[in-house]
Amino acid sequence: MDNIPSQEILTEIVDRISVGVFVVNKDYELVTWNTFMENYSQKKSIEVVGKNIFEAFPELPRSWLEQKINNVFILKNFSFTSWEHRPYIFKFLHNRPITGGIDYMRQNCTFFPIKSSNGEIENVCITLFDVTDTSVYQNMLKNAVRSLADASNRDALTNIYNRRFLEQNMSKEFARIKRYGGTLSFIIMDLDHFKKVNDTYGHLAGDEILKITATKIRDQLRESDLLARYGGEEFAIMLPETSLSGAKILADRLCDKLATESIAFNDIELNISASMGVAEFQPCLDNHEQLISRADAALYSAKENGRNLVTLYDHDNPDAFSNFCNSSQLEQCSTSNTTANSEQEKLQSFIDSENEQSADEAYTDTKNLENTLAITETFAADKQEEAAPPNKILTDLSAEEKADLAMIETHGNNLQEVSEDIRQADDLEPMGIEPHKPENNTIRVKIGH
Amino acid sequence: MISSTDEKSSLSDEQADALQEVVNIGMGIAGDSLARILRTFVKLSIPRIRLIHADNVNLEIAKLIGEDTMITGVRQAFFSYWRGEAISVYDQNGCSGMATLMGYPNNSSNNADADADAELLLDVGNVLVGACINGIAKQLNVEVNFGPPSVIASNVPADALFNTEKLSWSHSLLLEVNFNLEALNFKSHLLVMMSEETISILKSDLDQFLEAI
Repeated sequence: MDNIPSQEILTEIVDRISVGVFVVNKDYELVTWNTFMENYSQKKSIEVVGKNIFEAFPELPRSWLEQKINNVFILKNFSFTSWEHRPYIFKFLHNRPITGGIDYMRQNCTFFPIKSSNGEIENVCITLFDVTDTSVYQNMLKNAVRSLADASNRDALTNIYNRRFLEQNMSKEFARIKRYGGTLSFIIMDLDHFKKVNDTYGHLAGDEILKITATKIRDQLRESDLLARYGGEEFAIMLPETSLSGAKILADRLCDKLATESIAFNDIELNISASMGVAEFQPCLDNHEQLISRADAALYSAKENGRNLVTLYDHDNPDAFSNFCNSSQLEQCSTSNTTANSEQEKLQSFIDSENEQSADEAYTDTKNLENTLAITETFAADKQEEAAPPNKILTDLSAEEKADLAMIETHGNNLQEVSEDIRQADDLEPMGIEPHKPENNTIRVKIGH
Repeated sequence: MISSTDEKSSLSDEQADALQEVVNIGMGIAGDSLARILRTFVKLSIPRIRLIHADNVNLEIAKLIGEDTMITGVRQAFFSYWRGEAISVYDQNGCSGMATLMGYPNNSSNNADADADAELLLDVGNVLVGACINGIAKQLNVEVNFGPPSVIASNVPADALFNTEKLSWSHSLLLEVNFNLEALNFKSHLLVMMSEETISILKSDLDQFLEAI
């Protein structure tokens, strides 16, 4: 019939098409081998036809491919392979030797049964598509997506993680601990008087400090810790499987390191310090935001007590904390104990405290007085003088045993406002004029070396 | 209240009976093929047939599979003048028990594990889909071709297999059967779905089938 292409034409098409086409019989002997296969295998049709495919190509994954072909005979059905899971079957060279960056031609294959004239399946045809280009582009796309995903998790200036990524991980880790147990600590820190650096030496200097500080902190962390830039000059560290005391050791070390090592910018040597708040997971907390609020509250009290300090949020000692917070809601949110990062500073603060006597009187009303460290009381007193009217404190403290966790969120919001106030206050203060603070809390700037 | 689409897509009682019969036999053939290829006893459920609305697709599927199960789904197109997709669904155990039988090395200590697992899933899905669709098509004298399989969802809740915001059809015929290979600790649901256009073709195929009896 005229409208049916001749056998010659069909043979020619199959032979010349730029797709690998070959046929095997039930004994895995090659029946056909087209030009595409000849070109890439460097083996002529006459060399391989009639031979067992596994003898002609010993590098083939034999047991898998035998089974694959065999299933087509039994099920009389199509079968497929994809480069995404099995990059190649034959070790063919590809046409991107310069720009490809991959070893062998990526291949998608289709296996299908061929009926002979008697209706039986005696052969299986395999078509092999060169998908090297596709795979190269797909890998480029994958890499682009990966680096975008990574970039979206990082802070552009310091290249440490950003707040969003930190909070995502906090949330996950929090849920994990809630379910499976374990612990988690959180450090939040704020560089002291940072705006003054920007105002005095320009934002490039400020940026340099942030970058170097981020690196310094990161160098002190373990693989599992997560450091993020939390805000402008705020950093936060999530410490999985770390107790409060473990977190304190790290925070003290960081505080010390930041305060003692100056940062060089052009010809200027800049000295900085940081205040830190530390809190540990407690089973009674409902979400990670509450943990962050606690650390934030501790940071606030570190700021209030002279900066360049590490303050721990003490879950078991709610009263001490209340004194540091300029909010009537805090009495319900439980507790904090404050600890200076060195005896020197404790002493300094003690001396600086202008009205310790009345502060002690305020504390006699608290129920947990005996648990409160003397030095903490001093801090509390010191803070109280500045931050809240004494009568307020006394009423607030009476409810301390009914620490209502539901209030913590409100408290957290409140604290943010408060810490915002502190920041503003920071900005207004003239550099170094803060009489009640230890000397090393202020930014010292030396010009030259 | 039945919409006009509902009416057009729904099968008459005779058509529904015929389809159930055809599917029963088709799945039986599929089970037989599987038993031969895997050299093991295959337990098949009685196929269930539903006409579902796109809005309820996840709910209907969750009801068939079990609502609290985490699943992985492999889809595959079948086409001729029927057009549809079949989805094989696995629970967390996947089909690792089938690895050796499908010619995959059964070691689990290298980086290529995830790829090998995915390839095995696709391969097993292809076998189930091919066997079932061919089993049904053959009885209705339809020749069917298949596209390559791909993973559509990995370890998602049973009611989250589809992104329902992105469906371009409103009704679909859903055939469900589950395979249980106790010796291999293998379980899988097969879902065959065909939308409106194919349903009307299938209806006339069923009418012809009924006439030929």
